[in-house]
Amino acid sequence: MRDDPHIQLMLAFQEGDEAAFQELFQIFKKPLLNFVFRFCQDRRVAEELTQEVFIRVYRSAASYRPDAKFSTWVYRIATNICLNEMRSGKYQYERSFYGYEGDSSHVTLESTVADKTPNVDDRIEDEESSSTVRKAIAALPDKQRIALLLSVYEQIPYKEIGERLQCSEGAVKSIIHRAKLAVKDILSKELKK
Amino acid sequence: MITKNRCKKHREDLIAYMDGELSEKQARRVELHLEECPGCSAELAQMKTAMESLSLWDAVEPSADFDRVFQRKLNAVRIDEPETRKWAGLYDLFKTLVTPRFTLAATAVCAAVIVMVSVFTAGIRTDIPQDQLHIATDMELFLDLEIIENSEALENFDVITFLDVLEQETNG
Ligand SMILES: [Zn+2]
Repeated sequence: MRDDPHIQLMLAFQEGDEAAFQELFQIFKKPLLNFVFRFCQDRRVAEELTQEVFIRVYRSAASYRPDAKFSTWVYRIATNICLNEMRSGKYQYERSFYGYEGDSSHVTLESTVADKTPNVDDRIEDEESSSTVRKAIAALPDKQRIALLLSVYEQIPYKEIGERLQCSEGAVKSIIHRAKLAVKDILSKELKK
Repeated sequence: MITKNRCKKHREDLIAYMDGELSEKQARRVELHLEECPGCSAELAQMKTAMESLSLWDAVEPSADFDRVFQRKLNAVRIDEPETRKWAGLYDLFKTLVTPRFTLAATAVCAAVIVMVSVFTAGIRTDIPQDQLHIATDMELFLDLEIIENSEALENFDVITFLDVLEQETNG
């Protein structure tokens, strides 16, 4: 556990090294933003919540104990913040499937896809599938959604997801199993339309 | 003829099969069933398509002002967040201060302050006449004023009479 370089940074921050905290912020801001964004699917809210994760990290410095991988710990904070947001709606989060204002993912998709494939139809198809995927994931219950996102996009092993969601490895397996079945059902229906 | 129950059992294993989580023996059993069951094969194909399409959802970049907004929030926390890092800092300061050397130094400083205060207090007591003299000297200014000069009544005041005596004392 102690050889986790992120834990070393957090411990350095605990000793008062502010630069170590800034380094952790730079390393984890993008993966955390994407995790939160895929969960809540609102770009503005995702940025607010991600910043809140880092504020929580900053405030936890004094009480921090390296009893898990740093990434496990920080994603656990992110998961809690996401779930709390679902309950409290502090940022007026609304589950909306259309009109992603301020969402630059289309720009990213467009620029990267345009370089590789000049075929406009392919791009539109990709964007449509991407939007369908969003719908399918947004339709999942919170716990299934978190577990699936951690597994599919972050490639986190079941055991570690269990630590983050505070449930057993077996329970995670069955949660993800149900999530995948649900996603498949929604996507199959959407693609038939 | 394949029974629905057999399909049900295999369908439960399809995801684990797709994710490569089954043992070789279990995987072989699923494959044998897939070879003879178009329903389960179609189910697996759909599952694979669904999981592949998840990868179409590209990662987003933090917005241009993400860092700036965060640093602003962090500054606000630094200001009104004394219970964690600031208190930790104060505690550290306390720890460094409470050392034998510091205690000795503090005692010396206290002693010096007590000595200085008593000297100063004693000084005030011996200086009482000089103090009065100071006030009296300032009274000369008033004497220079026409109003006071012309005022005979004022000259009859004890204080002003006493002033002459004092003036002689200082000059002499
Ligand atoms: Zn079957």
